Amino acid sequence: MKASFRQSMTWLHTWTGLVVGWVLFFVFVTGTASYATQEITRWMQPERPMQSLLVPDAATQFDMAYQQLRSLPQSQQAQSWTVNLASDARNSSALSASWTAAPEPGERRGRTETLYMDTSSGQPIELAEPVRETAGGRALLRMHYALHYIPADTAILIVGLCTMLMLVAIVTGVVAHKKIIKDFFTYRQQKGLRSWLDAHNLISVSALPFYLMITYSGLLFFLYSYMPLAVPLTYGFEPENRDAYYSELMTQTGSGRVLGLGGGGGGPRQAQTEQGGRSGREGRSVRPLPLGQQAEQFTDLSALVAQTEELWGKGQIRSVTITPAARGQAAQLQITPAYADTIRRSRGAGTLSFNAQTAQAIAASPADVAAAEVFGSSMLGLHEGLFADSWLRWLYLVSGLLGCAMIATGLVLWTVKRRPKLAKTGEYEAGHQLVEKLNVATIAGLSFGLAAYFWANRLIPADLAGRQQWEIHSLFLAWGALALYSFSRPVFIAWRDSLSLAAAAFLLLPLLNALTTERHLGQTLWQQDWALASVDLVFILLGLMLGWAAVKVQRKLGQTKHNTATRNRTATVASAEVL
Amino acid sequence: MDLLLLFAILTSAYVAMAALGLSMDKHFEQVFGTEPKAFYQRLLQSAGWLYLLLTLWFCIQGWQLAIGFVVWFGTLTLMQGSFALLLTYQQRLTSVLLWAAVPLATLSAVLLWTSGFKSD
Repeated sequence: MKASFRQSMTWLHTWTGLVVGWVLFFVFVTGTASYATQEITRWMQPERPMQSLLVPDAATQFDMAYQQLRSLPQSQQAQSWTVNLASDARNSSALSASWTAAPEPGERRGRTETLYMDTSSGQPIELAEPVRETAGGRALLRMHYALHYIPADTAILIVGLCTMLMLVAIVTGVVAHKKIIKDFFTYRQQKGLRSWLDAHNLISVSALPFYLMITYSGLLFFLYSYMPLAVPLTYGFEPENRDAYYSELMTQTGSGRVLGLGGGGGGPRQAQTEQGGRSGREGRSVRPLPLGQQAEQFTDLSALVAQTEELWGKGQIRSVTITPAARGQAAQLQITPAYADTIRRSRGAGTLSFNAQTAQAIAASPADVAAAEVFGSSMLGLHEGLFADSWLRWLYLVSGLLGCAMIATGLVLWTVKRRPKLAKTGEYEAGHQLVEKLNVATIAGLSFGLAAYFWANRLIPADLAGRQQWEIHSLFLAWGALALYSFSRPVFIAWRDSLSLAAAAFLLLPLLNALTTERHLGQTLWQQDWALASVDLVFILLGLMLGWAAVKVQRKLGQTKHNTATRNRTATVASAEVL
Repeated sequence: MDLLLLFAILTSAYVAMAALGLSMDKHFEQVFGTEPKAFYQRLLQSAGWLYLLLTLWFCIQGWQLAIGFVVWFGTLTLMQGSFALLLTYQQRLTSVLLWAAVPLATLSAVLLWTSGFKSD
């Protein structure tokens, strides 16, 4: 056995970290990108209009869009109408009117069509080209828990297992770190192993609360998948037993959703149907009037919008949704605020609802939820960070990037620590070689793959069918190709070349963007479309960071060659090829 | 979000991290070349904790209690990292920035206090 508690914790930290490090690096990179899901999707759809500089008051904007919804023939039969107002808030760059059709048989959701509006003229914007289909930020979001190319259920278990080991690695890491307070700000440069250790410690301590929160809450998202027997052993193994549990849970927690069932916050459809009564199965016989016809009976909706803006303040309304009367429920007007004031993950928090015919306010469902529900939804909310404004969103991105760096430095540290011993004997064991190569293939390879994802978005023809899938294939093809290359070259040369390639791919992205679209930095900065411009700027920043790493490796490579040359003169072994 | 508020939390978080960092023997020596006198050490320590709380107060005023704590942790992460990097690559700058940040953070605290955090 190991000598002391700290030593055994160090051992546990080293090996749990190594085993799951590569999967976790993928999860952290794609997860970090998910803090910019909407911004990435917008970058990947360059046909969409830029930030509206002129932002009239909410009622005026609403009127412009509402008139379109009422007059367009294709929106009359829709199941809901939504007006997204232009404002400074996230993903609110343009005024738009959209309508969602009833779901086709077998589909979960109906198709949504969107019309962008010019806030100055009140007329629809004629897009030069239709908005391209893209896998967008959502594909990265999905990958960070469901991976890709393997069944989602399996992937969720793999990611969950890795996450559990990560939680172990974090806690044991805190124990293993001898001078956590004394070395709180310490980084000693150019000291080989010492520097790697300092860097890993510093990065790990720096966002420690974030890592703990993100790992722990990550496990809550799929808690029923990770503890599959918990419910059946008490309630029984039949699907209706499970549904009985869900509805009991929702009654007791006072929530309309069940937490812990998956990423999109999807509830069990059966149970939610019972609760919310939004099924659509009953009441099919009496077809309600189409929304377009019902709208003739509506009260002055823009007055309600104006009244709400007065209450909340200018630019504080995100969207207005209108749903028709159906199944005994009145037609509704729902007004959603632009900014969240809670960390809890609760859809529709702060939304005001009105009866669209009588203008009467509809009381929100009682906020009387159980403490367990508050805790659960707060953890999930913290994980997703949907409440974050622009400053907090940047902080989330920084913390996420630090997480990627923590994993990367940890993986590299493992090899640096063992390298001198192996170099002395002149033998590299196969296991060490494999770790070295997997590190290059994962860290530099995935970075390159991610850049390729964005290259593919600009280079694949905008009207190609199934182009979303090809964007994703491009990510993995580029990654795979670079991984193969890394495996075929000596480790340091592989590091230098892969990092340089990834750096170049990111640095050239803004240029490619300028060559292929009208949404390049020259335009976006000029039009003060900061959200869109920041995507290009982050590409440049990532490119610079990868390039800096490549330069460091190159220097190291020069040194090693020099050392080897001198050593060869005194007739010792160890060639640069092996390194 | 208000630029003054952002400036306030950035400067005060820097003061917090830099003062706490420089109150440690080895970092004080790194920057000033001598061991700190007990008095200075105490002063730096108290200033560090004081501005840590001041940063939290800014965050809660600007973002409410729950989100405020999240912003606080994130900002401190950013500043801890920035200070550690400065300490390695630009040692002199750490103290210069500290001297500049103390009055700026204090001034913005006063400005925010008198304006009642209105423009958020």
